[in-house]
Order: sequence, then structure tokens, then C-alpha cells
Amino acid sequence: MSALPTILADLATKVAIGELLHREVLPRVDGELACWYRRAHEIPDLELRAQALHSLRDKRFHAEGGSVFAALAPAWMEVLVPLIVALQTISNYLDNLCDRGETRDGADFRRLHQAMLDAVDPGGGTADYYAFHPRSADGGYLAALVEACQRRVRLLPAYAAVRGQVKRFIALYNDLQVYKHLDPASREAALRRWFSRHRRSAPGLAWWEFAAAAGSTLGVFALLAAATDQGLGAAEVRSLAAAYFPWVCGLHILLDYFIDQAEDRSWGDLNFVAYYPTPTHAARRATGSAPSGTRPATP
Amino acid sequence: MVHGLPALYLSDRKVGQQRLHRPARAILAAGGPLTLILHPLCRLHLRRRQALATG
Repeated sequence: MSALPTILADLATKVAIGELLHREVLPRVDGELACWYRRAHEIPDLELRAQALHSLRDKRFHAEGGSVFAALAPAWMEVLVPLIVALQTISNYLDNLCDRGETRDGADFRRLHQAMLDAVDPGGGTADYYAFHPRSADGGYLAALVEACQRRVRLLPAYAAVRGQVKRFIALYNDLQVYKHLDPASREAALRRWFSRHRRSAPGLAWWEFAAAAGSTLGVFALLAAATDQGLGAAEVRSLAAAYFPWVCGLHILLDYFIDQAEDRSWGDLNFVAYYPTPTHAARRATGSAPSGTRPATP
Repeated sequence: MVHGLPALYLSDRKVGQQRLHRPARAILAAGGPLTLILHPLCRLHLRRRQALATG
């Protein structure tokens, strides 16, 4: 019972954040998504247009969820909401292109995802992201998303302090997106080789748990929100990054995979929860009651 | 974050559609009282958003 005041205080904070979210943040998110929706409608290539519109409609939950971080820095909402929505929209669009596209070409996936790295480079420009892709006539949609991020990142007073960690998280995200979308015959081996290069930074994790953590954008959004504080120090950035990666990020994406199991099975998409012997086993691992390195199920 | 994420994700209708109630309950319980309180609030939030999205 001694924990009750703490729980009530936590609950009051979360309810206050929820109120701010409903009143201020989500209407802004709706506005931003509506703008990108209109822009996506103008994409000349029919397939690229379809994927852009599907990603905006079917994955808006991720943009809404990411924008929770804007509620933590209300004075910066006008910068953080457009930034988080645009960055998440790039991620959602490219995920659709890789999932449902016509190739399994790693060079194509790598070049497309250069957009994510450029988006968090305030001094950067844009590139020919479709250089290895069979379609390219997007009417400047992807470049416009990248530039929208760059404009907002430039306004963050402590961006220089978080930039290195942000780029590290995005680089890991890009690696994951490249390897997990390869041909089903080679993707698992590629992911295992990639994990072996990072194993020391993720002790206690199975390879698919590390991969899941790399697939979360939450760590990036937390750092962007923190960069609104001019006094942000290097030690705070390190502890924030360590708090999110790999554990919170891993939990985030494993929960996402947990609820998407049927959908991923129907499309033949990789789902990291499938590597646990049963859903109950996955739940026990998520709650910390199962050890790492538990015998995976046959994928 | 560790309380809110399970509460939010496990509020999704897909949990019931795939009959994942049992493992979902285990995760929510492990999150502690705050997660258990937040879970119905998140369900309400998702229903409101879905109702808004479908007009």
C-alpha cells in the first residue's frame, strides 16, 4: 500500500499528458497528416501514390504515438509535431515500399533509407533516393518530407548534443530495414551476421530482440524532444539513449509484432515474435520472467 | 513508457481477434497497477480515435 501515493501521482501525470494529447497534440497531428495526404494524392506514379496513401491511412497510429513526445515539451509543440509526423511518415512510406515493392534489392532499400539519415542532418540536402528503385516519379514527395524534417531539426536549440545518438539510432534502423526486407531465403542469415557485429552493445538479448529494438523510432523521438532543452548535457543524452535502447525500444516493437502476428503471417512478412516457441513464452520474456537465449521456435 | 506501451498496444482490437487475451493479460499484470489502470483508458482513447477516423 506504501506504493499507492506514487502510483496515483504517476497516474495523475499520465492523465494530464493524455488531456494535453487530446486537446493540443492530436489535432495538430491530424492537420499535419492531412497536409501530407493531400501531397501524396499528387504523386504521379500510381504505385508510389498507392503506397504513400496506404502508409498515411494504415500507419497513422505510429505518427500519433510518436507525437506523445511533443506533449512533454508543450512550448515546442509547433516544431516537434511536424518533425515527428514527417519523420514517422518517411519511415512508414519506406516500410511500405520495401514490404510491398517489386524488388528484394538491398542496394535499393539502402538508398531509399538514406532519406531517414538526410532528414536528421540539419545541414544536409536531398539525394536521388529512387536511384535503384524501379519507380521514381513521386513528384518530390519524399524529398519534401526530408526537407520538412531538416527545417525543424535546425530549430532545436540542443540538437548538436543529440545528433550523434540520433544518427546512430537511424543507422541501426536503416540496417534493420535493409536486412529484414531481403529475400526470405537470406534475410535471417543477414540479420544474424549484423547482430554478431553489435552483440557487445546488447548483452542478454537474442538476435531478434536486438533487431526489434533497432526497428523502433521512440529513442529518436525522445532525443528530439530532449533537444528542446538548451541546457541538455552529454551525460543526460547518454543516459536517455541507454534507457531507450535496447530495452524500451525492444519492448515497443515486440508489442507491435505481438498484435500483428496474423497480418504478418498472411503477407509472409518477418515477425520477430514468431521466434518464441509460444505467445505465452513471448509474454514471459517481455515481462522479464524468461531468460534470454531461450530456444527459438522454427520460423 | 514501460507502463504506457503495454497498456496502449494491448488495447488494440487485434488482441481479441487473434485470441491473445491470455498472454496479453500476463504482460499487463507484469506491468503493475499503473499499467492495469491505463489499459481501459487506452482502450477508450483508441475507440474515440477510431470513431473520429471513420466519421
